Amino acid sequence: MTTTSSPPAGTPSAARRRVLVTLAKAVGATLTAAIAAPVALFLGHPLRRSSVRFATGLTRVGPVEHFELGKPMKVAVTAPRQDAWLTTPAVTVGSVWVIRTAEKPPAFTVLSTTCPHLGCSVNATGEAETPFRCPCHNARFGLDGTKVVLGGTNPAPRPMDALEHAVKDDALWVRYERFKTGTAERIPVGSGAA
Amino acid sequence: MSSPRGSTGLLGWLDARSGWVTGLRRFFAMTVPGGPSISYVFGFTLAMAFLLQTLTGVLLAFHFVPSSTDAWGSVYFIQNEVTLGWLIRGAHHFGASAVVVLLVLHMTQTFLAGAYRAPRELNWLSGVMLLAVVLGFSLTGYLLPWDQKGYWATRVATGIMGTLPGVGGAVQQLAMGGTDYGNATLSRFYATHVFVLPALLFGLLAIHVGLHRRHGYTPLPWRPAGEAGSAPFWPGQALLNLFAVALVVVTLVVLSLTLGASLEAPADQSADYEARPEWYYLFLFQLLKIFEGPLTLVGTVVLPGAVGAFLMLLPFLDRKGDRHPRARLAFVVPFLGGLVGVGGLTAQALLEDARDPAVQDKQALARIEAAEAARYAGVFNVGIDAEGKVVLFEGKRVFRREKCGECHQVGSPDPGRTDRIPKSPRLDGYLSRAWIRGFLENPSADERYGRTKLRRDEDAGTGMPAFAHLGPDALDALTELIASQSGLVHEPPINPERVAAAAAPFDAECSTCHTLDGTAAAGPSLQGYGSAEWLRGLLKDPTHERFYGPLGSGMPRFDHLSAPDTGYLIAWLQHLRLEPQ
Repeated sequence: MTTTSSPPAGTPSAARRRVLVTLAKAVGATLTAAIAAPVALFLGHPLRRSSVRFATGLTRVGPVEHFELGKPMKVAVTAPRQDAWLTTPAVTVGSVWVIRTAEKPPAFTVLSTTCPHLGCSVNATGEAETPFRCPCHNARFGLDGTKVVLGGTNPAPRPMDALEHAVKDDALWVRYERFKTGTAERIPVGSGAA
Repeated sequence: MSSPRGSTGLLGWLDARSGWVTGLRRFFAMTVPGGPSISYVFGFTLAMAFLLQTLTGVLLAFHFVPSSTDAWGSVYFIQNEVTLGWLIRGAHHFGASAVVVLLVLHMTQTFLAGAYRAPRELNWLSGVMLLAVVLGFSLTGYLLPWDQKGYWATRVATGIMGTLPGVGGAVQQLAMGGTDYGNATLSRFYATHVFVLPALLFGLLAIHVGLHRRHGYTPLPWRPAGEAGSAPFWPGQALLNLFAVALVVVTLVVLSLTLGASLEAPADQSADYEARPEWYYLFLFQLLKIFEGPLTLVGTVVLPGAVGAFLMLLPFLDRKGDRHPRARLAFVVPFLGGLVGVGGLTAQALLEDARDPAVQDKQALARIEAAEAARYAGVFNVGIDAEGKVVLFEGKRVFRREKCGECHQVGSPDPGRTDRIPKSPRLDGYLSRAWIRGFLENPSADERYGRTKLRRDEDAGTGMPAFAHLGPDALDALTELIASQSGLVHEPPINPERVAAAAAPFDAECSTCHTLDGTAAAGPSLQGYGSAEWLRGLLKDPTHERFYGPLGSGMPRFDHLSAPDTGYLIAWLQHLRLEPQ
């Protein structure tokens, strides 16, 4: 280890060295911070803005007569989507379970197929007791989306997410939305005017 | 850090197992002969520039997609949407130039000090190899945004590979990933740029820095001999080095802020583009102008090969005598002569372009197109389609390519366009209320039908008369009626009451020549006026009875346009109503 040029403490050149050390440390620290800050902001971009956005307006999902009373039907929702730099005028942004609850006037329950537990896709079982079941962790739901507790367990923190819908021109229209999974509260995420 | 004391605690534990702390201490304690000097900053600064390129490169890879449909869009997204994307990309873009500049400075300083002599031959050789790697980085990185500049410059570069005797075709095909440019080209350039070259870079850098640790700094031959004034690296030389790095970082930030990393329009294989390489390749480009035809090989292989051989052999040729540059003129003169030659060729290439009006026009047009593409890519809900095309920009490109602007002026004419007076309606603000209203008030103005067969001819009774006399209420109503026909969104939205109020004046004043049900009349049918369907029909045949009949013969048919091109053109024409004038 070379120490020959380190002068004894207390000499003028030791004082000069201390100044140089302080200065070098300061410049080094400033440079590091000046580089780290923009890097952190760049990497944190997704915290400020979602790169995928789709239209949240009412979207036509099918003619009213398409849906049978009491029988869950899965339909895809097509909407304009902005995926980072790409704009697609019509692309499948998600799917919903539609259950017709009345013939005349037509009434419906519309549920997001996304399981409120961890986001798997909820299946229809065809069973009366638990018409909806998530294949991932066995969350079960009724025809209206409410949690069904069988054998004491159901990991879902809330019922299936019901979506706003309307009947217009003999067709069913749905406002597709996504919600945060794993929370008891329903918190919209990931959409926005597109 | 420079004290020789042993480490305790966590650092001590780490050092006992790795020796890293001691190693770092030794590095900080390396003797700088004769004390700190600017001459010694280049290597360290260059190494830091490499690290900065690595850092910014990794960050760019978080958003970049190497496909011919998505590369441009993803770079656009980085540059314009991602937080500080312009800075990270700017630092990477200008950092590439900084690396080249620092490398030339480092090499020149090393050369002048004769630091390649024994025992440092391998330091020099690994350095020359690093130079080759850096040039490879630049060559592969230039293409990645898939913009006009990178695309055409790389076409030329791979074209040069193709001229190599014997193996040329195979080399070119391997470089391009086939016989034409596309996804395969982009992905292999990307893989080379982010995996192969970094591995080579860090391998060579480890060797280079390791050898530097082993042999230490070379005393500068122009300083008085002896150990007088020698000092450890820390803190004196370290401080100088940090200042140099800070200067580089500040320069990169300033360049990113002022010039900004350029992103030209998306690559267009049909374009008429003046390809130019990045500035530090211009001397090679210029060399090819000098050595042309059968002499091409001199510029592409012989001279660069000779320079490479000179640099590689240098430590074995120049071995004896004083290291002072004055004592090594046989080597110093060709080295500096080569640098001057490179500088001269670069200057010549720049000057020739600056003096060539045709090149200037094309470069100006490239800048305009770059700005247009970036502006249109950000248009809400239109932007970039699934084919990776900037929809409105493609429309403008079709407009340009089909020379629509020679008759229909929009904005100011493109650079290099002849000063022909546009003879058909100006399309600034096309389909906007103001544009329609202007037409109703004075259709025979020069910027409308004034220079066409559709100009009002009272004697023949042809052309459209002016309706300014109808008064503002009727004109507003008629304007609203016509604006509503396209079904496009207007700002403010179409007022249905005003549209309804147009029924009476339309019947009284317009219906003799125009219908609203698509049937033929003297003038064009206004049903769906300005809609995609209406415009598609017009482009196909302006003389169709539904449009302008024989009086529309001044406009050529554009039925040769492909369906997508027609769609892009129409999207752009319809967008004109929203553009600021």
